[in-house]
Amino acid sequence: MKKTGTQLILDALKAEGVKRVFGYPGGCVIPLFDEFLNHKEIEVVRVRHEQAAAHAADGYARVSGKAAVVVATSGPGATNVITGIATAALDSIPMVIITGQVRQSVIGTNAFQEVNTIGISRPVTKHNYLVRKIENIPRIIKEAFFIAQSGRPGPVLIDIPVDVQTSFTSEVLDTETIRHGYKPVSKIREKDIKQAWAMIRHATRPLIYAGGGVVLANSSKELIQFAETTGIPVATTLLGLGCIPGDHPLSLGMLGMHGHYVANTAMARTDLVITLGARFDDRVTGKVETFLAQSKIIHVDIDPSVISKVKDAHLGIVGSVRDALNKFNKIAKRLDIAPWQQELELTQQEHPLVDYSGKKMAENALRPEYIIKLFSEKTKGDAVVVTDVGQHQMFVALYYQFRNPRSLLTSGGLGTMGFCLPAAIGASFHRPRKPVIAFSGDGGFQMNVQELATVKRYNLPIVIVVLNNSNLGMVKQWQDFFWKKRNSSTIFENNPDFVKVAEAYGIEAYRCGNKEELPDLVDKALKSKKPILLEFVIDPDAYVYPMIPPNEDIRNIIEGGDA
Amino acid sequence: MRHVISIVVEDQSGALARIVELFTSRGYNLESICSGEAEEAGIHRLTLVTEGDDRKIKHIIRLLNNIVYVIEVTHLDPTESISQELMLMKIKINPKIRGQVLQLIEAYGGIVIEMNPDTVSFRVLGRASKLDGVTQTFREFKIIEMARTGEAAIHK
Ligand SMILES: Cc1ncc(C[n+]2csc(CCOP(=O)(O)OP(=O)(O)O)c2C)c(N)n1
Repeated sequence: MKKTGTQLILDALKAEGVKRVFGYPGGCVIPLFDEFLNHKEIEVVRVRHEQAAAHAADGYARVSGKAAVVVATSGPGATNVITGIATAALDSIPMVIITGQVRQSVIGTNAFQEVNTIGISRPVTKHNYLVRKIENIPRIIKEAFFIAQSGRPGPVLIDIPVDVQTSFTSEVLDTETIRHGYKPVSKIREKDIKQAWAMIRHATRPLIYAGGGVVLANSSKELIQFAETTGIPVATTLLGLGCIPGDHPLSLGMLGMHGHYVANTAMARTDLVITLGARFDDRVTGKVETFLAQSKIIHVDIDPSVISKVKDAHLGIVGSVRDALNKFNKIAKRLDIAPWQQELELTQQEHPLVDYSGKKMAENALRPEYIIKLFSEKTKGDAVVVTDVGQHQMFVALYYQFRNPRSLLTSGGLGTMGFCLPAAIGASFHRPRKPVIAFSGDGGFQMNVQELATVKRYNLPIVIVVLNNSNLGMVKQWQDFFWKKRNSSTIFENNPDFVKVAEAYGIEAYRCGNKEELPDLVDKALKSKKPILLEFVIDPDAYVYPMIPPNEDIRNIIEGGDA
Repeated sequence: MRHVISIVVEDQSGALARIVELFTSRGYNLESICSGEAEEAGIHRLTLVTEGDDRKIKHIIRLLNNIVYVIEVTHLDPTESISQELMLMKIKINPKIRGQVLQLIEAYGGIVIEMNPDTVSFRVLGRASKLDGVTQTFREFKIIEMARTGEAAIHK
């Protein structure tokens, strides 16, 4: 039987087990969207902006571990998804993006809604394809999923000209996928594990530096087992949060610019760091010259290009973090590092996070830290928490005590404002048996606010929290600290009424600016089985502490405590 | 430092663009790129020559390996590889210098391809450093046009 290109696309998506796509229609994908009507097994989640489609697919992938699909039209549709693709790329999130393209005969002529999608997306995709022959569709889609989900995951884009979508084929289909050069995972050599263990055994102040790779490799259990057997403390990156419970005795919390004091101190004091699926981002290292200057480095990563990129590793191990941990767990023994553990415990006690339940709270000004802490307690650290980018993101990272991997969804690498609401939509579609809480600032919330319509349309039970400080808090903090308080363009004098905005979309909403009403409102929201928005009017001058100024080290940490 | 990198890659659209972008997006210039079919059909071997910081080049080589279509990447050691490049050059001549030019061409092992009363076109083969020298020499005359293929390299 002759099939059209769009039928082949749908067949291939079904073969990959795709249940839903996130998309937005347009001229060059009309045939594809039409075909979706013939395949009820695949739900089309139609969002209100292509960027949101990509973030939604991203959110879905972060909770499920599987690549989700984005569909957008050519030209502006394709350019709109780029931010979402780049966001996924920098955090190694699998994604398959299908874009429509103008018909082949006019490609390259500046035809209506034509952009060079392949060229524009190349630097932000793991791989991309321009489909020129209909018979290649099955192979390309199969390959795209394989590439997106294997090795170090990432986004793969498939650009399909509209004439390829509508043409018929009766030819033998190309389904054979052979990519000679693509070797996603290397097997870890026992010899390397032995050598690593010898280094670990001789260390007096060993430290595990766990990144997003631990989460991506679903190896949180293995990590905890390794830490508990050996007694080695664990510091995580922003994307690694949740791979060990925040209240675990061996958890030191988050590293980096706004990381926990004890985590950063441990990093400065360690004599052997075991890096697992992390990439020495500059937000973690600060000043590279002094970072780990006294320490040996073992670096395990699935992507060989990450090893020794920023800091030379004394031992680089290429392979899956999970494979490495399993091998370590076979030989690991308790280490004699009590003085080190005690030292860190003391540091922890001497430098806790600032507790804002004190003075400022007495004045009844709502502190963001307090709000996050309350959500953390009321959900017992077991919600799916999505953030936008800025101060609130760091408050969440510091004050929400994550208990599980895949429970913090945040744009770590690209730091994309506007990520939160659509990513929460994607997460909510995965139907976790946990509440989905979306924390945004008033700035980022307005970067994809139109998605309230999507939330409403699918009646997604997301708790949308807007922490409204009437400014672009994180940038303002930098201006206040390092630019003589010259608040250039960071104050929002005329924010909309967020409660009314939500209500206009048909979403129940409440505003709260004092601590008395707070607990009841949080309870109400967490019990709500439908969308709800809470706007908290918070202290406009709340700063995120601690802070290591950019390109500095722990010696220059600002601990805060102005409460 | 000068680096010669040999890349075995599937002959697919987009492969070359991804390779080149790894260099250009980091501000590196490619001195030369030479590409053509390799020992197996459908597979190309590329020889890239670039100048740059050793550590950064090492990182780029790892990134090259991550490109889906790339099969093998080798950082070539000049003592363990053979490399050659072809240069075409057209020189303005006149009866007075004609003899001298032909002699020089011969001295470099070049071969005259076309000769006119006022121009001579020839080719020279050799390592890039030799061709740099040839260019230097002929700058004393008027070079009307010249083109170089970039070095192709294989293991010894
Ligand atoms: C798309 C985008 N544009 C600009 C920035 C730069 N930026 C980083 S944080 C920030 C402020 C965010 O303000 P808001 O959303 O209100 O959150 P807050 O910091 O106040 O919690 C800005 C502008 C960014 N990260 N992303």
